[in-house]
Amino acid sequence: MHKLRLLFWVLLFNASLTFAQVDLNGSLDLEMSYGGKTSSFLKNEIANDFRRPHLAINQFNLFLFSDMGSDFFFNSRLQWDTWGTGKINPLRITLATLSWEPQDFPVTVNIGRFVSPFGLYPKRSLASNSSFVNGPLAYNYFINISDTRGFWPKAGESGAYGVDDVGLTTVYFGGYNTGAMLDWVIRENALNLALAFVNAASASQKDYTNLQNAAIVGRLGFAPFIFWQHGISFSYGSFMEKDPVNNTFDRLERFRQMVIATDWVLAYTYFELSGEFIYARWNVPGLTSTGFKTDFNGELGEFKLSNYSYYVDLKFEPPVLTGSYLAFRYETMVFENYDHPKTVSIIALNPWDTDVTRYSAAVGYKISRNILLKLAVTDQKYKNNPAGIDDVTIRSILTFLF
Amino acid sequence: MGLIDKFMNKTILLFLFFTILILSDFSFAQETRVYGRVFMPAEQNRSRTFRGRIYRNRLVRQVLHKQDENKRSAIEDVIIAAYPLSYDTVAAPLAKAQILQKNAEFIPNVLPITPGTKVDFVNLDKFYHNVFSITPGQKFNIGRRPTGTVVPERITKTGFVKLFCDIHSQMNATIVTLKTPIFTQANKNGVYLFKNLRPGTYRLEAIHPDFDKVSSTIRVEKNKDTEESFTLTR
Repeated sequence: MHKLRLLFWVLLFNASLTFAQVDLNGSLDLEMSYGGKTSSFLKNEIANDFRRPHLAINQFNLFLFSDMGSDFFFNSRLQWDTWGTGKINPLRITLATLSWEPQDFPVTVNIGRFVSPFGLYPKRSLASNSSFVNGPLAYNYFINISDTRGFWPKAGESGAYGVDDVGLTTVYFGGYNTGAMLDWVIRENALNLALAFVNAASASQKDYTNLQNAAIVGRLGFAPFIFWQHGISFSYGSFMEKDPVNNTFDRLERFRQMVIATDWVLAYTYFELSGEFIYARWNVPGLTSTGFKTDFNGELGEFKLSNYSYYVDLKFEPPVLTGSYLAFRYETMVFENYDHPKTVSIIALNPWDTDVTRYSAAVGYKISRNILLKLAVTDQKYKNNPAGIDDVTIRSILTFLF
Repeated sequence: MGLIDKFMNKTILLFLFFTILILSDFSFAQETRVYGRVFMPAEQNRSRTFRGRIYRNRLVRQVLHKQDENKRSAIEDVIIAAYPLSYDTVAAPLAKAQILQKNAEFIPNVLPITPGTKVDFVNLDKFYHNVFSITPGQKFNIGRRPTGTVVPERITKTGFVKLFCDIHSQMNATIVTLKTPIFTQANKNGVYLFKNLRPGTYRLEAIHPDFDKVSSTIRVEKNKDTEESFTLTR
């Protein structure tokens, strides 16, 4: 199925190349990284097997932009990376959007797999757009919720990404949604609304769904002043996936995720202060080593969980060293206490995951127009644990744009 | 009274004499002109590219057709520089030079100047722009600047100084710093013209940042036309 889907997109990619005006460009990210001894991709983005200093291809991207005429455009991203496992992943098309963009008209329509309207980070996920190497906790820290098991204390703790069920991040790290999006510039340079009807809530990592999932994702963006851009985002919908582990239960679509967020960018001359606050509420089933938690009727119990996180980035571009920048990030994720569902036996973990705080610093330098070098250091600590260097990451990325 | 009349008559006569003298000189004068045409391959519209566009929150609608109508064609960015070979000249800094940032484009896209010229960068958009150059010998970054802000930067490096906007990756422009004060730009038909160049030998260069430089040597004679055309290739 996966191969068929890839074949379809590759054919579409080729068709665009053949019949339309096409603009091709790409990027190559080479990474040299080191991770502390308890590194895990689920916690600090470095797979433990690859935590010792090594050189790797972080990502190779080929971007295609095609003007198909009559105000229709096609955008896609062909991606090849070592993301998640540390080993080379299969080549895949992570973005394929057909856009209708009438000239001088306030509304555009996108269908397919597109950059999520939610929040700030999805627009900064490419190495060339981001000041740091690691993503924010809300997008890259795996929590105790799985899309097949629901609340599951083992999620985010063990297993290998891409092989085992390792749970979800609060918002999908890739920053994409599948569906249809309407983007409306309500007031030029001041107010914008992007609204998408998609096939799963923001946490979902999959570009397809095998249940009747649906979700709505949106962002209201506004710029009160030229130096201040602000956004309010939301996402609400189902996200569970049918799997052998849960196939004795029906109606998994009734479990939902709701996320509300606000993001901001304040900038002037050589300074930029940006960040996001994200609050997520989950209605999910629960699973422990003894199995799914059910009520007396054998129905899945519904756990109402919530977490929030925020990050603040400060970036400074020293005017005396053109092309360079310094950046600092403070971020934290907090898991809130929950009430056990009635008639469902108690899971001892409360709150449902461990709070985490991360500190990051990065320096970058534009060697030339198309070559960017950056070095980033992160360390994180968990609630009630003293800070240590077991989760430290030191990562440098050399990005070539072509 | 008679004395005044006499003086007035003399003045009028003198005025008429000099007027006739000047007009006769003009009527027989011929210009020294150097002109020609520049040819270049068809340009590609690269204003819409993948990166930077789809990965951005949208606050402005697409107005590309409007922009395109008013947009200078690439041939208008061709600079013809004349380097005198038979006499010396000084390329003093220009009194005024500016690059505007409007509709997320640099205007003009190619700016010819002489070394030491102070170039004013003016943001005319209602959103932030930045201007930076990482050209060796002329690195600078003016930071994010709001609408109306004018930031001067003295350009000393000769040759191409590439400019970019850190916020809008599709924006780019080139300052071409010439070691001669004698230069012009082609019009939309690709025609250029120098008037009244001092007689002598010159090296003419046709320059565009996206094409190979083409040059030729010409001899300019007083009151004569000289035609020299150029074909630019990549």
